[in-house]
Parts: sequence; C-alpha cells; structure tokens
Amino acid sequence: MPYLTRDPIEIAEWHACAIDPRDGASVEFVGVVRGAENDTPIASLDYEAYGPMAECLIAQCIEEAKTRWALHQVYIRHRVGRVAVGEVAVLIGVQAPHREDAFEACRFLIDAIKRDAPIWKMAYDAHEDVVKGCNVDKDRCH
Amino acid sequence: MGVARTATGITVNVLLFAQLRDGFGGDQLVASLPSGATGAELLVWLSQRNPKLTGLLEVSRLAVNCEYVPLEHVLQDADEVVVIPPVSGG
Repeated sequence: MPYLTRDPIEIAEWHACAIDPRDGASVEFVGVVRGAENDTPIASLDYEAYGPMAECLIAQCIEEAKTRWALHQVYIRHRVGRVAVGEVAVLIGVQAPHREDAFEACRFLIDAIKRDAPIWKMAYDAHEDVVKGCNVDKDRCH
Repeated sequence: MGVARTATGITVNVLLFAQLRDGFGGDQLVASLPSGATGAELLVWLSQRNPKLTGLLEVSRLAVNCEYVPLEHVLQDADEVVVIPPVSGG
C-alpha cells in the first residue's frame, strides 16, 4: 500500500471508505501546511522522503496500532514534493467500535509518523527562495 | 562503487538525505571501515570528512535495511546504511 503520494490528498476518498458495522467511531487527523514556520511567512513546503523506509515504517505503525487498539479501518496518506499553504500534507483516518480507541490510535499514528518516518520538509517563500531555519523541527533533535 | 575490499576491512554504501545530502554535496558515499566497525564509527568517519556537519551527525539516526539501528550496531560488508537527520514530516 503506497502511503506516500505526490498527488493531492482527497479526504473524500477516506470518507468514502465503508464503515464496518462493528464500528461506532471514525476519527481523522488532517495536517495542513501553515502559512508561517517559526513566525516566518512561507508559501509552500517541499517534502522529501526516503520512500522505501517510510512506506515500511508507516505499515509497521499501522500493525502496532492494530495490536494495541481495536481498529477495523486505517487510512494514511502523506504528501511528498511541493505542497502549498492550505493544502493537506498528511491524513490519518481510523475507525473503531469506540471513540477512546479511535482517538488514541489516531494520536499514536500521527505522533509515530512525525517522530520516526524518514520524511523531511523544506520551506519556500513566495519568491521560491528557501526559508532558512525552517527545514528542521528543533524540538525533534535528540 | 569501485572500492576494493580488503581482508581487514569492510565497505558500506552510505545514503544521505536532506541537509546531510546538501552538506556532503551528494546522496551517496562509500565508506571503508575496519571490520567490526559500528554505526558510531561510521558517524565519526563522516564527521571527519566534513567537520562542519558534526553537530547534525550527532543528532542523526542510522538505518540498515529500512530499520533503525542503535549506534553500537556492528556494520557488515556491503551494508547499505542510511543516515537520517532529524525528520520533520507531518
């Protein structure tokens, strides 16, 4: 399953997934490109990934989530390439019988992807110049 | 990549991404290391090639065969090692 995509993420595709009759909760996280990084205005982010490992890691995260919570449907898409301000960069959707599992699993998945998936972003301004200092989230340095 | 193996050493292919690729000016390097070399020794080798990147290398992680490995992981001849600077997906 390719979780990375160069095409726009269609939230409707996730919403079109049939809900399992056992499920009573559907939770989604939609990550959108902000208009500023560290208070500096930007026009877009360029996402770069080490594709094979990112795909593998996301699949492992889903497997782990399914062992920890009762999930019947998981949908993940992450953009690579240029993504303009306001566009969806990542979408995590989960369906579960109960809301607690759905919320916790969704939170786990986005946190795990942001922490471990080999994906990097570079910010560009309206003049297509790189916005310095925005390509590393400093709080993730360890 | 054209580097001859020796009886006392290993050769690993290093893949570089993001700021590390930009810093080294390429997305691949071939490292010749002593047999039994660890991930930490590879980072030292990289740091010696470009001391300006030492700080970034110190906060980078290593992966072999698409799995993160600890710095004490012993590298094998012909391994493909990915050096992963702090990620920023999402």
